[in-house]
Amino acid sequence: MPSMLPPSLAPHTCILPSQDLVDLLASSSLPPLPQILQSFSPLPQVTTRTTTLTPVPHPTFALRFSDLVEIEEGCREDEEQRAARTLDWISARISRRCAKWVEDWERVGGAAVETERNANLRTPWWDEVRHCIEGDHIPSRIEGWNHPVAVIVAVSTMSPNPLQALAQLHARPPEFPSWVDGNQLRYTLIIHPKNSALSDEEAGALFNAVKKQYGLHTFLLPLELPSPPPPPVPVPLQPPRLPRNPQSTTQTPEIAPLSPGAIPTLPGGLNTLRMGEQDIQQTARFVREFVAMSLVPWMEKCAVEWNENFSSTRRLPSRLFSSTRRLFGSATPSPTPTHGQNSSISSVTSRTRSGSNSSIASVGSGPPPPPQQRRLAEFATTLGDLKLAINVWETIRKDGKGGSEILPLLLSPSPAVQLHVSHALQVVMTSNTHSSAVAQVRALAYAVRWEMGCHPPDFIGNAEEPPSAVLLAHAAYLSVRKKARRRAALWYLFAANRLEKSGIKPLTMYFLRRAHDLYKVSPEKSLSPSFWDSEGMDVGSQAGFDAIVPGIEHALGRLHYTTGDVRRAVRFFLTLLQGASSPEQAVLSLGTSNGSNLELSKATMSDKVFLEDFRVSFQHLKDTSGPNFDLSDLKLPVTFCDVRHTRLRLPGDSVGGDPDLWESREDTWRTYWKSQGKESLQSTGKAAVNEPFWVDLVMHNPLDVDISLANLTIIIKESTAESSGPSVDFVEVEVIDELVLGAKETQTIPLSVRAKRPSTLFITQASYSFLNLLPSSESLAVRGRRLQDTPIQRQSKVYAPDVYIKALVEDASQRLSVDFVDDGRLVLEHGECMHMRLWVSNIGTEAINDIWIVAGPDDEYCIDDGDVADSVPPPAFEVFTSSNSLAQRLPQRVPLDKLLGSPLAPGQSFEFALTLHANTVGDQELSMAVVFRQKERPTFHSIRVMRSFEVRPLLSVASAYGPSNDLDELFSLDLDIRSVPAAATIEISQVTTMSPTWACASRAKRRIGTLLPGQAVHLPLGAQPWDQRSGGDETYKFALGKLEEVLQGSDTDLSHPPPLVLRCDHAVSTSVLPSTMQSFLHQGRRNNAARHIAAVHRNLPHHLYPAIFPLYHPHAVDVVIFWEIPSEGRSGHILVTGTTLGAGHGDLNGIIQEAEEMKVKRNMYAETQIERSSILEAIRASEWNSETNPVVLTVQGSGAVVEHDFSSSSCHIPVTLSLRNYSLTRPAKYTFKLPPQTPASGVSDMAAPSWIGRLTYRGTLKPLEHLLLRPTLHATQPDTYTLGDWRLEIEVGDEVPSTGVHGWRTQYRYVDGPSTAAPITVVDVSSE
Amino acid sequence: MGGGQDRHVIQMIANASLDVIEEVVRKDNAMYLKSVDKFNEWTVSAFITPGNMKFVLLHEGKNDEGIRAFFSDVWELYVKTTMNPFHTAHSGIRSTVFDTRVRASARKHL
Repeated sequence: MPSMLPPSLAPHTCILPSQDLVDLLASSSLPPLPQILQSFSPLPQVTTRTTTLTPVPHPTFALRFSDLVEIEEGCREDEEQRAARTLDWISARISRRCAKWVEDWERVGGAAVETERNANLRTPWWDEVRHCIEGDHIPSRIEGWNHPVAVIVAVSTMSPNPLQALAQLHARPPEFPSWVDGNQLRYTLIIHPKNSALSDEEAGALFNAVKKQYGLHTFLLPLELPSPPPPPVPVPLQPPRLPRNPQSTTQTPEIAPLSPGAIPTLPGGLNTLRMGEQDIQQTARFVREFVAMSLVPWMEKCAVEWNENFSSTRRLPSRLFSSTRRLFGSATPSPTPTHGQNSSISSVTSRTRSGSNSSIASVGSGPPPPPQQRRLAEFATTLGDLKLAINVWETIRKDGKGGSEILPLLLSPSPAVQLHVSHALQVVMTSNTHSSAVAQVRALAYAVRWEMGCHPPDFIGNAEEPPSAVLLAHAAYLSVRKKARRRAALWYLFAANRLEKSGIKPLTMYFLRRAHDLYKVSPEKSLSPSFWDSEGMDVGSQAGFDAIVPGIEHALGRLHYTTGDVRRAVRFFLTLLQGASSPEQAVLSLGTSNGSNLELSKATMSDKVFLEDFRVSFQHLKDTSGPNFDLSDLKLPVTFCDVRHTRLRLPGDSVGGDPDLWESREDTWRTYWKSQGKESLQSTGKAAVNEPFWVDLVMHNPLDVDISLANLTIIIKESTAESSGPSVDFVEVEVIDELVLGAKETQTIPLSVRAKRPSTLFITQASYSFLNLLPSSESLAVRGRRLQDTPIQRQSKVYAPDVYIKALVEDASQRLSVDFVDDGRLVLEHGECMHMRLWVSNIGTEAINDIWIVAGPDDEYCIDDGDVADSVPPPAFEVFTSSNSLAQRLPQRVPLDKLLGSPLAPGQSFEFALTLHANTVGDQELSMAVVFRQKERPTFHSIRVMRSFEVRPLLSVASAYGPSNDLDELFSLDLDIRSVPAAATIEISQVTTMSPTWACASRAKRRIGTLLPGQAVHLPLGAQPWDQRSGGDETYKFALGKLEEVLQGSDTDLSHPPPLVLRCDHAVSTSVLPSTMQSFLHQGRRNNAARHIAAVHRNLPHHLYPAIFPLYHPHAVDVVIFWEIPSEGRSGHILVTGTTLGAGHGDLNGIIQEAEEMKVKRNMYAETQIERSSILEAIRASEWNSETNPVVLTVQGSGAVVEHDFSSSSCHIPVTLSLRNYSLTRPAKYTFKLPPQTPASGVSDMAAPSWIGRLTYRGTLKPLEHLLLRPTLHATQPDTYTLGDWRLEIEVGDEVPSTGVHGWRTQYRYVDGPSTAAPITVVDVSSE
Repeated sequence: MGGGQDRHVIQMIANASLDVIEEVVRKDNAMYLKSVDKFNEWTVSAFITPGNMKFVLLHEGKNDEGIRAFFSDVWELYVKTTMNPFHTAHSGIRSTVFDTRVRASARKHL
């Protein structure tokens, strides 16, 4: 229950003054009478009585006085029109004063007050709206609060004939429309000023006469009204009232409009009255008497009588009847009586209506006055008879005739209050068109009355009037108090949106600022601090809705710009240029719900708009603020440089290639030179004095709009310089006049830099002028690594100092430029030898004495030193010595002495040739580091050169080998050379075999000639051991020793294998290999062997390969096929490796067994064990441990056909069997047994032979020895015979004189049997 | 406000409805809060996961069952996304799969 009713519910009294009274007051510098009387409201200490005669004390009792004529006019005005005028009037008032309000409010810290729940402080704009709405005093058709309760007819004794004046006024009935409650108290007031023509006695007589004629409701008010008006006395502020309609005021010009401007006010905004003390007391007495003696009793009386009627209708029979009538569909109107019909208070209602009412034609028979029940409820409310009031209001509400709007004020807080509120609003909404001014004003009035705890937008609708905006702002204000900040932000935003349309900018800006501030306050979250720590995030770093802040800030910026605060506008627009974080996020947040695109007006929210606004406002600011414009506080919120991708590029870097690869080339050089001297290799990555280098600045535009950056450059500092000024003076930096970056575009901008003296430079900043307006700079520092060294560093985030891009500039004394002369696309055939020319130029200032070339381990190349091979007659075969080492090739020195004869002087240049062998098919790169120095200089420099080429396949070579059937040779080696279908016509010029042990010869002594595309050629070769072979045993021992070390796990010493002599046989024609070819063959063999070893012995460390494995296996045979393509002028060779002839004897088996049986050291890592066993397996399966049966038996003349005349005798056929020991080292004992007569086996359909003579042969075969066995086959009939189930037992061992009975130690035993049929056919040639 | 089509206004509405949702959640332990709030033509429905993650949907028409089905689809997708070991509670969901599936569900139910 409210402690005090809103003043707008107070009884409304109209005053009809006579003209003489109006003149009197005007002459005494007093406002019109209603205003004077209003100054005495509220009245203190008034007691009313309820219908049950219980007294109700009112600490204050509000009254409302107004001019009758004004009210009559107001009633005649169209309600909608008046409501619209009201809204405009309030808007104008707010608009006029809001700037001052906002200033004052912010000065007292209004925003802070909001949160402190200080209920006493009210926002001035809301107060204004409240007062304006409260001040409404024109009767409404919907409710009866403003309907006049009393009419005071006032005259003064200054009138020539006061009685006549009174009679005239009384004769004039109030010209109210029919819907205004005509039930009014008539009261007569006679003002008797001191300077009146009538004496006090005469005035008394007049008073008595009037009392006699017009009843007891009469009062004589004597006033002093001194001639110079007394000093003003402050009185309560009058509620502002809507100015009268200008059209209607012209009709009654005699009555001054009651506008706030007419009220004399003090500078402090107080209302004053220039009345003397005695006059005030007199007037107060009148007001009190009027209320206590007339108005309240009259109202009480009405309430009692109406209550009688009300209760009588509520009694049971009546209710029964009424419900019966309702049930039976009677058309009788509701029994609630209206005053027109029920004139029980005849004395006061007799003058309510008159014929003059019909002069208001439109309302003559118009709507009825408010129902009596409603008036009863209103009177009861006003009189404080709340019990009755609530009862009656509830009844009215149940009948659907209103009441919901008042009940929330009377009831104690409960959920029902909210229902009443929403019902009241619904009624307002439905009874009027949705956004009519009447509905708005009404809703506002309700809102003003309720003040708190309701949903403003429900009754605002789409209204765009400032009062509704202020109401929203008040809702926001209240929401903040309820700690609903997010909702408050929304209300403020809505309020601002509405106010903006009315052009009330200061308040709009204030609301937007509030919305902004409130949105920024993120709600408290009861989360553990570790939640944020876990991901290393700041508590405030979470991203919310992405469009809210830009939306508000843009509006704020625009408002600031239009109000002339360009500087702040610029700042707002600048902060908006944030750019979308990521494209997919933008898509997600744009949100197309249910598949259909939401029509979002993106135009107001895009970077393009922001940028354009910024450009315009900034340009304006620049134009208006003159040259001394301080830009230091304007910082771009976006960065355009992608520091992490920005690089320094030196002239030598343009060759490209993998940095690790170049690093390894330099390491190769350092390893090589370590044994030669102490001079160091200076790493590349230094720029030279007076030579440009580049900073590749990566620029990315995060905005969704094209931008331009003018005067883009970088700022460079010297490492020793302390100053933070611009770039050092000895460095020239390129400046790019204008750079346009498209939306979301990334560009790499090379900026050239040239230093004039050696130094260390740091590239610290990029600077540019954004849009050619805002000079700006960006740091190019990358944050240092996070430090983890001390506990303090680990517990908090500590980073190393920022890292800048560093450029070293050195003297250009030693500079070399190396390039390939021909840099076109290079396509080579597999195995082709290509001559390439390199151009070397000394661009430094000192002579260069030494140049080395460091290439990769797999690159096969030779530097052509200009030597021409001597033409000597070709020998039968060639012999050369190989180092037999797998070691990587050393850097090659360019023979400057031979090529130039002198050091390379500054400015001098020369060319030299390089032969490249294309050993691998596919896309290849030749990356060479060229290392050079001036003689005896302590440092080497290097430069990089790279050449890409493609290698196409040309020939495919397959080789097959095995024991030869031919007695003249030990092994046969068959080559199948096939040309690739896409190849050109190839000429095979030479086939050369190389082996430390074997001498190979072609069995077909002829030229192979040309090979058409897709054609194949077969080349059979025979191999015999070379009797002058040397170095094989040492090599074998070396390898076995090293492998034993590996297996035993002892440290491998880094000794290299002994040299080996190689024999070269040319199969096709005799020729001499040039010395460069020997080098190529060595490199080729090395690459193949290294690849093979790396594939097989995967678990051995790579750097140990040269120390373990020799380059050549002593029994290996390499085949080199030389080819030419005469049509294209190409030539080359293909090396085929991997052939090992001769029987091995598993020489490592003993060591392997030892290693297996070795006491296994326990190791905690299973991986180590697995690795060991895999090493063991790899060695067991390697070529160094091969083991085969060395003895092979072949049937000479198998498939022979023997003719015999069986008519004379059976046939005896001598069969020659060849038995050969293929071992190069070991003797073998053999036992050959032929089967005696055996039945034909089911296996073969050939006849089993029977042998005669010696069936068992025994003996010993020395290494490489061969012998012939000649058993005799006995054929009894013509047939095809096999050799049958012969058996050959072999024992491989050593002849050791000291051990065993016969000085023989058997190592391996083998048993051989027939594997091929080897048929012998006997044909009977008897003539019968 | 002209229908409140500005993107930031729509986001503000969604943001403001969180106040009401939090208030309702204190009393009501249902996961699906249908029409929990209303702003002009926009109705706000919400869904609160057991982990207190709030899904907010602004819609115009009335389609309780469809919205309920949509929310449970989104919840399932959300749970699957959060089960990704590379997803943290600190970062937004940027999965395009999630996005397409939510859209597909919206097309189906809304």
